[in-house]
Amino acid sequence: MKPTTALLFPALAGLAASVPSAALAAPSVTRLNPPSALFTFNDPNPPFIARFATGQKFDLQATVQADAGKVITGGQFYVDNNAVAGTVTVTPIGGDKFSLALRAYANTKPGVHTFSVVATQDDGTQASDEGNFEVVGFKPGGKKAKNIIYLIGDGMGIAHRTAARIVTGNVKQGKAESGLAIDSLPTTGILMTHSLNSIVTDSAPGAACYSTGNKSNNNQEGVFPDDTADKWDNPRVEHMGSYLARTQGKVLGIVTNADVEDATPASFAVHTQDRGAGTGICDMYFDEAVTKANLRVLMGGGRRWFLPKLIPGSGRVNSTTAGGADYTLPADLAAAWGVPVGAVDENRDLIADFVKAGFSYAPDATTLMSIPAAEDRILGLFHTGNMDIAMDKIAERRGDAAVGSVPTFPDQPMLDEMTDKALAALSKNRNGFVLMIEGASIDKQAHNMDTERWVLDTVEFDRAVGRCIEFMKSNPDTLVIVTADHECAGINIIGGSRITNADLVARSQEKGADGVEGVVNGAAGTSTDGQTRLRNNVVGIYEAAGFPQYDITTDGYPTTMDVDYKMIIGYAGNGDRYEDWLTNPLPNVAGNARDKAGDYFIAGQAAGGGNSTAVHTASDIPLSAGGRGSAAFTGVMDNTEVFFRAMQAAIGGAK
Amino acid sequence: MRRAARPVETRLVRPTATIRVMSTSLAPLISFVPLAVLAAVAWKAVHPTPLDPSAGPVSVAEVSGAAGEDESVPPPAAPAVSDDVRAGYAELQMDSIFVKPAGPRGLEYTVEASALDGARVRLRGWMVRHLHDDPRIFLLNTQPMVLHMSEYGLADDLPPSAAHVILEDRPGWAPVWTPRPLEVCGVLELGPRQERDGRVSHVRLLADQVIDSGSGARADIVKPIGLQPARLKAAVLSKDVGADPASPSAPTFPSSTNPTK
Repeated sequence: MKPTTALLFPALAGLAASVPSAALAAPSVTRLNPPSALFTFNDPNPPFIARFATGQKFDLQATVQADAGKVITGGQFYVDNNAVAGTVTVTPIGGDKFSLALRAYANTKPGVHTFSVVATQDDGTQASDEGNFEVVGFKPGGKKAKNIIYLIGDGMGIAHRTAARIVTGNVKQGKAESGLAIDSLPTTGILMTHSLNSIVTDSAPGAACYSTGNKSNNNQEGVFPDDTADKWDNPRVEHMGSYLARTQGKVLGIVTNADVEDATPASFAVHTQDRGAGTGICDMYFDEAVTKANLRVLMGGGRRWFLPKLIPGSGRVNSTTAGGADYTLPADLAAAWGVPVGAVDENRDLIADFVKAGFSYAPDATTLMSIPAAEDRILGLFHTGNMDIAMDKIAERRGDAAVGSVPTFPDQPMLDEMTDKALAALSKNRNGFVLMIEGASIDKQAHNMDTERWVLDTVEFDRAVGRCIEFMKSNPDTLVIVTADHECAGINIIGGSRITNADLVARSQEKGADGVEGVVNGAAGTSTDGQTRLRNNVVGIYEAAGFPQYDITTDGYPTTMDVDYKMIIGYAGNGDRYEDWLTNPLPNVAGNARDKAGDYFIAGQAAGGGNSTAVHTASDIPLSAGGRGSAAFTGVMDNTEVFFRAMQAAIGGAK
Repeated sequence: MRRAARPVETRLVRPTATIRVMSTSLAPLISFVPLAVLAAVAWKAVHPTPLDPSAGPVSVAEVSGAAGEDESVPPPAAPAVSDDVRAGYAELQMDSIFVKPAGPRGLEYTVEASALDGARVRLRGWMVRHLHDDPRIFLLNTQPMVLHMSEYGLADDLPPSAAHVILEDRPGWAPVWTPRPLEVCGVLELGPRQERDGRVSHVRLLADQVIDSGSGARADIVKPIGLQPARLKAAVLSKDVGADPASPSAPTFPSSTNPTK
């Protein structure tokens, strides 16, 4: 933060001049929200960190460091030198710090606005500072996008798409016989994904930016950072769902194959600084999103948060530990935003609450498919945690071995099936809808460097994209945006295997040159040296890669990923792993605890996460778009810009 | 919930060497020095580790936490656990704890598991590679697994049947993570309990002993957790995501539900 600037107002300047020397350690503003380069670096120039759609609500907040033993007794926010009407709540947050907040502010005048705070200490001294934000207006003209569909392949960089195309597209003689559904979308852009506090984002700010148009710190959903440990009191930014529900009467749908409390789905409806606060996040879906954002479809895993604590499998917790995650909101926040204060209730039956509100509840695919076409509210919770991975769900449907948690949850829907039901329910609203569909395990399996599983999850995701494109064709007032929240694992296709699968299997069981299954770094006298068997003369590069061929069956997935001369994937954001290039029989086994018989160890470059997981990267990600207003999504842009171009289509219209 | 009295006569896991040293030379200090510190000092006296400068050059694998390190540094010799001891515990398959498939709402304990609630049982599985906020606890799963709280928080793939293994008497001590399967003997406890990391456990084993299934030897209490780089590397790194440590409402222990990625 920059040093406290000169006081902004003449009257205050005179007051400051009268302050005795003992008050040189004057109170100071240490944080000002919305965040800005003007406040942090005294830089008034673009890019403007915080931007809002006209009339989009957000909180004004400041943290003020008082003199030792002193108290901040009041404050006033100004925008363009005009006092902002409303109550400024002053909350002591420890260490002689105080948080000043004015909730649910909105500005309808497009352009860059300077704002400031003046805080008064109990001895009369004052602190002030300034920042800025931009309000983005929308040009009227053309036809409006009635429906907005975000499809987010979590962690899906450009190579994830390429790999899925190689598996499904029959690439030979330099061309793909058939592309992905994503490939058929007419507009392509490139997104920068940095978060407010890192070049490398996590899924929370990486997804929330599409819903709010703003950056936040890693782990945060729909809020700006503050200086309290409270997960629920951060300055908020209104989500697209509630903004368009309030202004246009749209409804909201959220579909994922992760736990519904996971970062990406929650980033479209929830406001918290803790992406892991499952109990409160799911409570907030009901307490706020159903009423404020017209949430009508919620599907995925995460049933644990909806079950009273006494039911086996429940994950609901109270707030008696640091991990506790139910909530009560500050009174000023609840009043200004018009939402319930929440409740500490680990025994809440959230499924019952949704059913009472008119939702049809589906615990499995069979029930989901049986929901009558007339229903417009669906709650689908197909797993207690994350849903199983496409490969393992498909294996169960084919009658192959059930692995992972498939034996416990054998009847999970595929993402395209969930998409069909969501589109049918949401499209009943004549004012249109916002729908977010996430392919979550592309990221999760990329983290685990489980190539075959993230490839098939990308295929599953692409099939959901195909369903949305079909809907778009019959509903041309629909905007479809397909992108990611970030790249995961530094993935790329480095070549193709030079040997048959049978040969690969044989080599995967042989030790390296010394015939001993070694350990890393020779700590016990033997090293891993399987590279002589599994790298040299196996990894074909350039023309030796050839064109790996996969056999796609009627269910849309390959009969096997272990074909002769298969595609070879490398990981630049890798953790430690043993590699034998073969499909791992079990999901979610650590990379350094599987495939060891081949004795080929690849040391990770990414620290953290036990050194056994790959990490997100800061790489730009691709965006594909189609339908009403999609022509605007070209060029290289910041990820927050997607929100504003979508709002142009929904509010201003597109030619 | 039923809970049987713990069978003291079968608690073979107590680190006998450690206790022996403590009982003779260090016992007078017990009331003044934290037990874990004493235990660490005593343990190191009889089992110098590669991290002890007096033990010679430090193993690269030990310091780096690289894969395979735990196989490269054999645990101190421990007596094999006899079949007679095992016989005192009913075998329960982890796959048999909950009814499959799950019903439309929650899960349901099997008749077999319910009958063993509070009884002495044996579970076989793999230690999940992660660090629990509660140093008494590690997770036992039906298959090898890595759990990255730092990546996902509680939106994870951990099956409901994963057991919280509680080493109640020795906070701060636990077996090192190993890729090999383990056999854990103890008292089974079913039912919800909120754990320190925000997770709700439904299957707990109050462990009497942890056995390396490969060697049949006792596998517990080989290191204080503070000297386990393999486990610690999987831990959440404490990171401020907006919390003010000076705030009176700030937690006094690390929260792993503020993931750093």
